[in-house]
Amino acid sequence: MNAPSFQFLGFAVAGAVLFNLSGSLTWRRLILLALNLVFFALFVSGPVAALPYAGFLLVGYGCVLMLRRRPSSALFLLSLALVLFGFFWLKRYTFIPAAFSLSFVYTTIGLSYVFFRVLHLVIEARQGGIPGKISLLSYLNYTLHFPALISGPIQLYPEYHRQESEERLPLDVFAIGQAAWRVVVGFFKVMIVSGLLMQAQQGAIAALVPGLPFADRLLYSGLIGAIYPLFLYANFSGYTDFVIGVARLYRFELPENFDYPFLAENFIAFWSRWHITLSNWLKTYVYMPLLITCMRRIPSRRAEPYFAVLAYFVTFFLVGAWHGQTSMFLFFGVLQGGGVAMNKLYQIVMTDRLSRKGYRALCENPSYRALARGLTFTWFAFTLFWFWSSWQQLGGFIQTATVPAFLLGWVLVFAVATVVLAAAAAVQRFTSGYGWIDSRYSRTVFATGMMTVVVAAVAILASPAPDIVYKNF
Amino acid sequence: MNDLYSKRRLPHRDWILLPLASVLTVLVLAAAAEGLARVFWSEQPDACIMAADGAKPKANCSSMVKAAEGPRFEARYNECSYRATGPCRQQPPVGTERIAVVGTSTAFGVQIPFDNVWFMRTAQDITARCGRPVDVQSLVQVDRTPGHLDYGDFNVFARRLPEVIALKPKFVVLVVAAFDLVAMPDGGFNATRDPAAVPPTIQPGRSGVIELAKSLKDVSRAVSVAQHFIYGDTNLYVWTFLHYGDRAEFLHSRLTPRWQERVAYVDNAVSYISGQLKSAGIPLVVAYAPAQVEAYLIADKIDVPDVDGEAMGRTVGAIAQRHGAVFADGASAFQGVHNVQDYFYRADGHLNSAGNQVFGDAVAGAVMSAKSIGYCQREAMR
Repeated sequence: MNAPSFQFLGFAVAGAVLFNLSGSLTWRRLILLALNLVFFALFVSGPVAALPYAGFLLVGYGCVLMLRRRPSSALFLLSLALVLFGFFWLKRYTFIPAAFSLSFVYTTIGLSYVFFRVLHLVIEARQGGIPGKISLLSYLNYTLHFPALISGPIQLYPEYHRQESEERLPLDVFAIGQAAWRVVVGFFKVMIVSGLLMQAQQGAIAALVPGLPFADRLLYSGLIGAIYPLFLYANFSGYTDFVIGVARLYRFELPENFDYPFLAENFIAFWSRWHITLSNWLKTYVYMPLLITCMRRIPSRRAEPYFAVLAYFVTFFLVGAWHGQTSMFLFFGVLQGGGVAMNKLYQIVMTDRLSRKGYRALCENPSYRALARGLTFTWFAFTLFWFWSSWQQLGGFIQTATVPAFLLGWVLVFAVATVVLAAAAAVQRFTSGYGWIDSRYSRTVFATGMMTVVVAAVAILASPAPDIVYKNF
Repeated sequence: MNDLYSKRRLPHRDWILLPLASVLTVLVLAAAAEGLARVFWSEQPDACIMAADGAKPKANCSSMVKAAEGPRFEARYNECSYRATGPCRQQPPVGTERIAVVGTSTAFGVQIPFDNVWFMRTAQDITARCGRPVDVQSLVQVDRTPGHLDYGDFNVFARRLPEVIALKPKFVVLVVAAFDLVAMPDGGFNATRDPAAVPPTIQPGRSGVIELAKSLKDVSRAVSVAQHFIYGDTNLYVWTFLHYGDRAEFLHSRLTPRWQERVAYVDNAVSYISGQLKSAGIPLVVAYAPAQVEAYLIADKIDVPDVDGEAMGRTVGAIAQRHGAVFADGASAFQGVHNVQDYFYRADGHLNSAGNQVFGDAVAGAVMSAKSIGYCQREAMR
C-alpha cells in the first residue's frame, strides 16, 4: 500500500471511524494496535518474514524496560550496541559480512524510522525522559504508528504520549477540514507535481546524448541536477503532508518535516528546514552530546567553535550515510557533513573578520541573501547526485556532457536558482500578508482544484487500455 | 488548547458556501480545460471517410484533416478511393514500379500527411537505392456501419483481392498489427462471408452514471491532452497497459486461448491472401506494425517479467515465412530509438510522422533484401 494512495486513505478513514467510536483510552489503543498490525502485515509475505522485525522490536523493548529499572552505563552501552547492530544487520549494511545475513526474505518496511524511535526510547529510558510507564501496547503503537511507519516523520515519545493520553486533540469540523487539506496537498504534490518533475528529469537524461551542441549539453546537465531536488521535495513533503493529515484523524499532530527548505540562506539553516525531525533527532542525540564531550575533554574557548564544526560534520555525515548501504551514500554523507561543516567554518571566519555585527549586516543584505539561497540550493542539488544515481551513471553523465559543460551546468543552476528563489522568497513575503489566501474558502477552492486534477489523472491511469483510437476517421 | 478548540464553530452559511465553492471549482476547471484543449488541440475529421459508403471513402475526394496530436493537412483519395501517388485505373509510366498496400489504419497512414506516410518513405528508399520511381496505391479500408469495427477485418481484405490484383503491382504489402486483432470478427477468417452479415461487435448505447462518465471521458479533448502527457512516460504507459487483461495478453510468449484464436485467424488470412496473390504471380510482404506498448518495451528495453515486446512480431514473422511471404518487422525497427514516445500520437496510439519513417524504412529494408521480389537485388546486396 503506497502513501499517498486512495487505498491508504480508505484504510485510514475506516480505521479513524472505528478509533473515534469510543473515547476510552483502552479502546483507542487496541484499535490503533490492530490497525498498526494490519498495516504492517500488508507488507509482509508471511509470519517468518516478520520474525526479524519482531525480534528487533522486542529486543528494543527489553532494553527500554531494563534501563528504566537499572540505568547503568554498561547496560546502556550494551543496549545501544544491540539496537545499532540489529539495525545494521537487518538492513544488510555492506560492512556486515554477507555470511552473517539471514538467508530468507524478510520485511524491513519503515525499519529506518522505527530504529530512530527505538533508539530514542533506549536513550531516554536511561536519562529518565520517558513519561509514565511504557506498556508493550504503547511501545508497539508508538514504534509501529502506521501513518508514520513508512517514512516518518519521527515523533518523539513524550509528544506522542501526551497526545495519546494526556491532552487528546479534539476532532471537530475544523480539524477534519485541516486534515483533508493536508491529505489533498499531499496527493497533489506526490501524484502530480513530483510525477511531472520525475518525467522532466527522465526526459533530460534521455535527451543528453553524445554529439549534442555545447549549449544543449550544458542545459541538460543543469536540468538533470536541478530537477531532482525539486522532485524529492514534492515527493517527500507531499508524503509528509498526507500522513500528517491522516494522523490528525486519530487526534495526533505529527511534527512537521519541511519548512520552505529551498528558501534557506545557508546549509546549516537548510538542514533545520529539510527533514526536520531527522536532523533534530541527530542534533539532540549526536551533535549536542558530541559537542559537550569535546568541550569537556578539551576546555578551550578558542577551540569551541571548531568543535561545533567537527560535531556538525559527524552529525550530517550520519544523516547522509543513514540513507543507504552503499559507498554512494557514504560519499553523500561526506558531502552533507562537509557542506554543513564548511558552512560553520565560514561563519567562524567571517565573524572573526567582520565582527559579529558586521557579519550580521552582511547576512541582511538582500543580494547576499539571494546568492546564499542560490548557492545552498546548488550545493544540495549537487550532493543529491550521490543519492539518486550510481558511480557508473554519474561517470556516464559527465562523459556524455563533457567536463566543461557539466561544470558550467552547475553555474547555470546557481544563476537560475538565485533568481527564482529570490522571486519565491518575495512571493512568500507578499502572500503571508494576505489572510484570505489562507482562508477556508480559498483552501476549499484550491483543494478542490488539486483533487480534481488528481482524480482525473488516476481515472485516466485506471481506465481501459490506452488503445488505438478510431474516432477521427 | 482544548478551550481554544471548543469555541470554534463553523458559521451556518459555510455549510452551503463551501460545498458550492467545490462544485463551482470543478465545473470551472472542467470547462476551462476542455475549452482550452479544444482550441489548442483542435481536431478535424476526414470528411471523405465520414462520407464513406461501405468500406471505401468517397472517391475523388479531398478533405482537410487534423488529429488532436498532429498537423492539419489535406487528405486526397483517387478515383478508386485510395491514398495514392497517381490514378489507379491506368498503369504507371514505363519504368515506374507499382506497389499496393492493404491493411488497417496504419496501412493507409491515418492522420498522417501523405508525404510522411510510411509507404512514401519505403518508395523513397527504393527509388534512392534502385533508381526507379515507385507508384503507391494504398487501399483505404473503413467501415462507417454503426456498431461495426471492421478496420482490421481480414475477411474484407480477402474480398478486395481481385481489386488489388487488377492493379498489377510489383508486390503487395499487408500490414498486420496486434491492436487490430482485438476486434477479430466472430468465426475468424472466412473469405466467402459477407462482412455486412456479421453481427455488430460494439454494443451501441450506454446507460448508467459510470457509463455516462466513461462516454464523457471518451469524447473529452482535455482527457486526450492529459493522456498525451501521461503516456509520454514510457514506463508508466507500459505499466498501465499491462493492467488491461485481454488487450495486453499478446505481449506474453505463452498466448491465452483467445489470442491463439487471433493468431490462427492471421495464419488463415495470410495463407489465403498469399495463395491468391501467388497464383497471380504477385509476392506478398507481411509488415508488422508495432503497437505503442511494443515500441516502448523494445526501444527503452523495459524489463517486465514474462513480457516480450517482440513476441507478436516474431509470431507474425513465422506465419509469413510459413506461407512464403516476405516479412518486415516494424516492431524490432524501434530497437535503439531514443525518445520513442515522440514517434507516436500518444493518446491516439497510431504512429506519427516520425514513427512512419521508422516503419517505412523497415519495410523498404525487407523488400529490397527479399529474393522473391527481386527488387534491386544487386544494389541491395552491396
